[in-house]
Amino acid sequence: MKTVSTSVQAKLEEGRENIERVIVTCVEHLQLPSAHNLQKIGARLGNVVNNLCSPLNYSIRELIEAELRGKLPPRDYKRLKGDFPYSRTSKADFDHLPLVQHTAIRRPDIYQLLESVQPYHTDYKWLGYLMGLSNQDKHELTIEVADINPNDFALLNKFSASIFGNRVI
Amino acid sequence: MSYEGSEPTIASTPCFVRPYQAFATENRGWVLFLVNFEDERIGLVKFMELANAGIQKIVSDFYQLL
Repeated sequence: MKTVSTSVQAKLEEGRENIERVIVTCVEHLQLPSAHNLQKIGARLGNVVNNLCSPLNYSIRELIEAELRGKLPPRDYKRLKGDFPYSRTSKADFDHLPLVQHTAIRRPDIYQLLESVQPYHTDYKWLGYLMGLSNQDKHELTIEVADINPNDFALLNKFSASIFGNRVI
Repeated sequence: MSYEGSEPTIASTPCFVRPYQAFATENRGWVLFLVNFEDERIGLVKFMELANAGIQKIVSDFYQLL
């Protein structure tokens, strides 16, 4: 068993701090609504999603270093991307990725873990949002504010999934 | 009578109420922030907290195998 690297821990900590910053900026926006504040929330959310994606990518690079470097033909090794492999659509798409194929052969236990957290599984839909938002951050993240009808409020607690999509408002 | 951990907290609005992952305001009631992503609107705070906990779990499981 390997210890979680300090760079991964640092990114996770930064992610938690940035979540608090987003919340503070949301409160500031509610005190004094402005387009600038909404942009600031978007920018800070961008930091959060990037902070949270990095540990996944760092972990994958460690896997490549430990298990695949020097063990694959140079041509196959060059085709590997050092990013966390994911598919938002299907297992077939996920299994098609070169890194996934090599991991399945050499480390079936890690393959199983990677497969089990793919965003095409309902419980991990958030991971697809995370990866997508991290890519979208390069352009712009648009934030909206919505009032909650008190009748819908109980749903927030009861069904975590109801927070997604537009059923909440 | 009070119970441990159940004492009321008084805060000025607007403020963030963590158990509900929503913001309490004086004029607008409860408020949520939503992120536009493709054709979906994602609850901002719920998403951030879910993703934060989820990533920690994945990374921890991953390193246990590595």
